[in-house]
Amino acid sequence: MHNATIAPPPAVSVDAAEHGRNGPKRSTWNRCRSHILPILAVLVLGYLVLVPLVQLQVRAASDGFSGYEVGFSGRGIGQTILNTLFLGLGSLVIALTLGTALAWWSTRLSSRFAWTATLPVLPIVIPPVAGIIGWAMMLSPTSGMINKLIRALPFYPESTGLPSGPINIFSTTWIVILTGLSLTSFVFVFFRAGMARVNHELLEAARSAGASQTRTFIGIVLPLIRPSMIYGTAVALLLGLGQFTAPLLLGTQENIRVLTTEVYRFVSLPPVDYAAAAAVASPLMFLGLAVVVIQKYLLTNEGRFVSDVGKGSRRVGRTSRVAPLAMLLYALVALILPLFALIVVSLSPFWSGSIDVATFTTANFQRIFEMPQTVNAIITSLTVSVSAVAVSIPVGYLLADILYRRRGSGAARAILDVLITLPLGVPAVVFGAGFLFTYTQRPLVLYGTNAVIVIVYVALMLPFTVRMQLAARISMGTSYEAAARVSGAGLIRAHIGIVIPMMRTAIGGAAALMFVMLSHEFAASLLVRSTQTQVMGTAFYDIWVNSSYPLVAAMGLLMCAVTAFGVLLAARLGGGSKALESL
Amino acid sequence: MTNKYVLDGLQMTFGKGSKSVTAIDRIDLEIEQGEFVVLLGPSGCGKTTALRCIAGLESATGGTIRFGDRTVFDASRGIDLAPNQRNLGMVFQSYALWPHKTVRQNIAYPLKVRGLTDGLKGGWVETAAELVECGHLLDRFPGQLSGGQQQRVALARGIVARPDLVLFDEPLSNLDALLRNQVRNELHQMHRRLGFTGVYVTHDQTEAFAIGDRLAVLREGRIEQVGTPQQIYARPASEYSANFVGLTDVLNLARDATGWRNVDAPDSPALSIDTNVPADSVVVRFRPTEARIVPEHSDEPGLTFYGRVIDSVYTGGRYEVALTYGATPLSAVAEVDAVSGFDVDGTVRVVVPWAACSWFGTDGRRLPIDEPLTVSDVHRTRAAVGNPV
Repeated sequence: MHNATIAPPPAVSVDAAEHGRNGPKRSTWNRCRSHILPILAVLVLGYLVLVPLVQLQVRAASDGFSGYEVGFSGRGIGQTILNTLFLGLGSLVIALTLGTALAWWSTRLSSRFAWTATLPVLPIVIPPVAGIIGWAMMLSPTSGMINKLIRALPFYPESTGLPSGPINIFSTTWIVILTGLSLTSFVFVFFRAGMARVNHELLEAARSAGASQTRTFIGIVLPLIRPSMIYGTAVALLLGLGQFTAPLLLGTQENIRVLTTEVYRFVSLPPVDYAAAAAVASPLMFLGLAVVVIQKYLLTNEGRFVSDVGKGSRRVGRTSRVAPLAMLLYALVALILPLFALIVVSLSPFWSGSIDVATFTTANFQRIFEMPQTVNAIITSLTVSVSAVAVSIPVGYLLADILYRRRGSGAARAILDVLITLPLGVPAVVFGAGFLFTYTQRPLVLYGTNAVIVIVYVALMLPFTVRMQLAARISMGTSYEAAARVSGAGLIRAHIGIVIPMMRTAIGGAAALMFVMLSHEFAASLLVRSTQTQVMGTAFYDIWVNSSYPLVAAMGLLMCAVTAFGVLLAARLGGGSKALESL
Repeated sequence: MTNKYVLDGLQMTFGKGSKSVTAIDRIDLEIEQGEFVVLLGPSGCGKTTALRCIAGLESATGGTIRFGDRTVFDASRGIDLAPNQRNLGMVFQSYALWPHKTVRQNIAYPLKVRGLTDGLKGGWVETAAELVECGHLLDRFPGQLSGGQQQRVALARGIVARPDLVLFDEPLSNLDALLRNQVRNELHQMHRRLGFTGVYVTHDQTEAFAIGDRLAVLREGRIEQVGTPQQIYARPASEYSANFVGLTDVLNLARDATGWRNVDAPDSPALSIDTNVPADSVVVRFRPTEARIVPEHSDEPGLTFYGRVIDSVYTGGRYEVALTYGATPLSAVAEVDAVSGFDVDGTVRVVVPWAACSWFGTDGRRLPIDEPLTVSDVHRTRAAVGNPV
């Protein structure tokens, strides 16, 4: 038996012990082994995420930076930049105010109304394009339902000329308000997750020390959730600055421009100028890059989770009677009204702003299904979304494992972390443009195929798939895996038999959530689509540009239905809002 | 052929360069086949890291680990067997029962992954479960069990594959006090019946005394003292060990022309010490339970001094008394009938039997002072006879 073992001659052993501390004799393979996977991951992600951004810069810098000249010399560029800043900061203020208030109220719901806490999350499942058009149907100056209602009020002054106003949704102010409303859900999710992790005894201690409810919130809760706040605020600001959907759908009419719509204009409308598009995208790209890097520096990845860990108590302190009302009001404004508008309009043969139940018809839905491009778009959307999720889950699992097990060198992990977070910081339009430039040229000409959309989607989902699975790994701890290993299971067997089954809820939730987000995807898709490859979001946009309101509404509802399917799946798999919170 | 488990110059450093932290600073330890060794130390002393290195869950940065003739780890030769190649069992502080598997599946897992079909067919799972009195729980899920039951199941999973070496990482610290004693005693019996080699990590000296054949007291990544529980209890090798095993009353004594004095009580009378002490400055340590308050005219032999009463607490059957001896705070005990003789702020006579005193030099090492045969030594002799090792 002892012939088979690897006992060293004593002399060598002593010698090795003398020299071996710093490992000169340690086999090279052993030292390299743990580095292979992280380095491979850095290379693959680098190609996936970084190459499009580099391509963007190459384009912008080509021909002696002529792109910058064209992009930033046009008339109104100053106004465009101001609009972008106004959009980012304005929507951030709205979202922070509403999101924080809703999150605080959500912790003070009585058990009867506890269910209302999920309401602010729900607007996330309405496709942004559909939600915005729903609002347009209520607030467009001439035929908006709410405008009509206001004009019908007795004290409203008699109109001179064509009936219009008083609210014009096609204005910068309303673009900001609607963007703020949609970002509120996002801020709510972040802050609520932070607050849920605050041990209730800390708050009770403050209360019994004599602090009022409000003072406790300001003096104890807010400082405790500072990591979630900083992170949530930074991401919300980037999302606001990179907002594309609302400015494109609502701003075109009055020629309101922001940087993202300029990117799209230079890519899609004649005269097409890729270099200028790239140049205009650059400020957003560098800002996103900076925020991601700074955030990594301020809150290290593990630290963010660990500092928040604590047994959050379910017990509610004093309940608030305003709280459920606030939840319901937000749901009404952000969810029910737009949906209602879409339903009413989709059932009307034509849209004048008046609801006439007698004329309701399903003809619009029939027409949608008769249009080959929409049917194709639905099929493409489902195919690419499901494929992208199928790729994202194992990729995210592997990356989460590298980050969690601290494999490879610290530098490789830090680079990975930044690469993973980048798609959250850099606007989807900017990414879309980068992908367009990358995959319309060699070595990989994929433009016009579903594959390019799948690749874009996988890149966009990186932060989500990794964060969600990483959070699940962290809360699971190492001991279950260690127990399997010491029981005699090999590495792969331990993952397949223990870790993956234990994470199935989180994985399922992440998959469903990513499906929801991808089936909505509009901004990046609009840039990489081709005539053969349309997804639901881009088909919707074409209908909006070329057809009537009722048809648009029908298409919007159809998207909601596809999404609802994904949400039901998420709820069934138990991930749901929990999965979102792990962002 | 040797059956010893050997840690040879084990080292573990986290991080690199100036930020590095040394968790284990050369540990040498030999563990006999069938022996139960306890690594004892406060949190952060490296005991858990050492255990995880033995398991292969962490890779040490230096030294070797040998299981009998097998080298499972050798930093200089790049040998580092994976945990599943080391044939061991392990019991975790958090139990780490897989919540998606039933108790039966949890216990059977080590047999399944090692391909021990004999064990699966031969009822090893049931035997192990019966051993920890969990036979009736086999078809439940871990979430349906109490903490004590979960820890018993975890024990069963650790031993079911009959590994040569079983590792315990503070397995009882999540249980409440009564249950902890009970499971501890069951574990002791189980070890006697099965005869596996065990390494057990804890910060609880009582647990260590009860379970270990030998203890290794760890301090900042080094072994401070190795010995039987009786040796360490009676003769801690250093002040650190002494403090850790409950010798928490401390007197700093110095010898001058007139005799020995407490340096923190310069005005009090000289102490009468007959023993030949080979230094002029020493530290005497003893357990508070050995320092007894006696009547003024008692002639009990031992280290005798006077202290001022600060407070006394009834602990059932007797009192625990907080004293000051000069500026030195001490804790002592008083029988119920002795209490009538003193008040708070009053002065009392305290006697510590010579055998209960441990003497240390200013370097913190034990001084070689002749000690008569103590009660503890008698215990040790008796235990050694009855010990199966």
